[in-house]
Amino acid sequence: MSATAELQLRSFVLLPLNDRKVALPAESVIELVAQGRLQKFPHQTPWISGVIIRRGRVVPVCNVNQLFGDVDSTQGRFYLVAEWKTGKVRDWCAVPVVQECELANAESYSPVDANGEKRAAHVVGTLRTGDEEIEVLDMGKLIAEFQRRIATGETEPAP
Amino acid sequence: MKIAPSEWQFARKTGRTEAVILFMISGQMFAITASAIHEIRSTDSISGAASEIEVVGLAKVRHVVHRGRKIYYVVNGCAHFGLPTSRPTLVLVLRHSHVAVLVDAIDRMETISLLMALPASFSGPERAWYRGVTLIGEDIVPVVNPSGFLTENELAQLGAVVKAEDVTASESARSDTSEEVNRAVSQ
Repeated sequence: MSATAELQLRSFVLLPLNDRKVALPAESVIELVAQGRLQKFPHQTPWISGVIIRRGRVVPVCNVNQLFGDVDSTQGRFYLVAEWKTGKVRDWCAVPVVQECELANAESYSPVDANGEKRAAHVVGTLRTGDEEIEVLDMGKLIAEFQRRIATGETEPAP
Repeated sequence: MKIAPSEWQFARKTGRTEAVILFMISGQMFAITASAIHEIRSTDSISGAASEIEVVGLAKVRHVVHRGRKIYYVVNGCAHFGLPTSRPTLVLVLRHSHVAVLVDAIDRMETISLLMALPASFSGPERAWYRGVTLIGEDIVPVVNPSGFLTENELAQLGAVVKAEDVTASESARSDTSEEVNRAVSQ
């Protein structure tokens, strides 16, 4: 299959945050579930607000404010559970979302390096829907960047 | 959307059970393997054997307990886990260790058969604090790593301070003794 054909088959899940949308590659998304009980225990990873149990595993719930710079929607209605990987490490992460997510195909997708724009390393491309430009994120890169900032003391550990 | 392959499941069934002690610090429940506990004492019962210690950058240890030839560094559980200050009433004295931990209360003993690894997303000191997490009813409870309360470096720092204080104390005692001898001779 050619790279173009492969790209056309790709689809993306659009996550509605409070005042904008971001997109994740659909193959990284595990499920969208109604919010259950958020459980907490002491830790110092700033972007994690708690954990839930899904499919027999402990899934960290992200703090949307920390990770996406958006108003924290911990009180949202759903969790979008996605897998992220960086190097040999992979895990799941639940993102609180306030509305149901949409699916978009790759027709309007343009990778970041194709348009020469300078964006954050975790933004791998953009999708255009109407007037709206939606950033496609690589969660692994986003989390790796956070972990690097914690290790170098650029980000304060969680209180 | 896809189903996670089973090899990624983090749940680790050991095939055997483990007795754990559930304890509380500042309203948070923790579990620790029962075999890691040498004894549980009330804070009142050890206060006589405790002396103060101060190490810069190590505020979680304020006391050291001398019991026979053994020294225990008393770690404040609230300060260690970054929890709000509470009033500890018990001390967990750890086995094969120089660590004793101040806790608020013992909840109960439980037998667990499932220990789940801490998700890879957690990247802070909690990776050393916990062996993993377990389920008690519907609650996720962190299972404490008994060797995660003090690092080798912190133990070495504390050891150096205790040694220096012992030297000062013995020199002071020696000088007191020689003063007494001098006084006796002059009389």
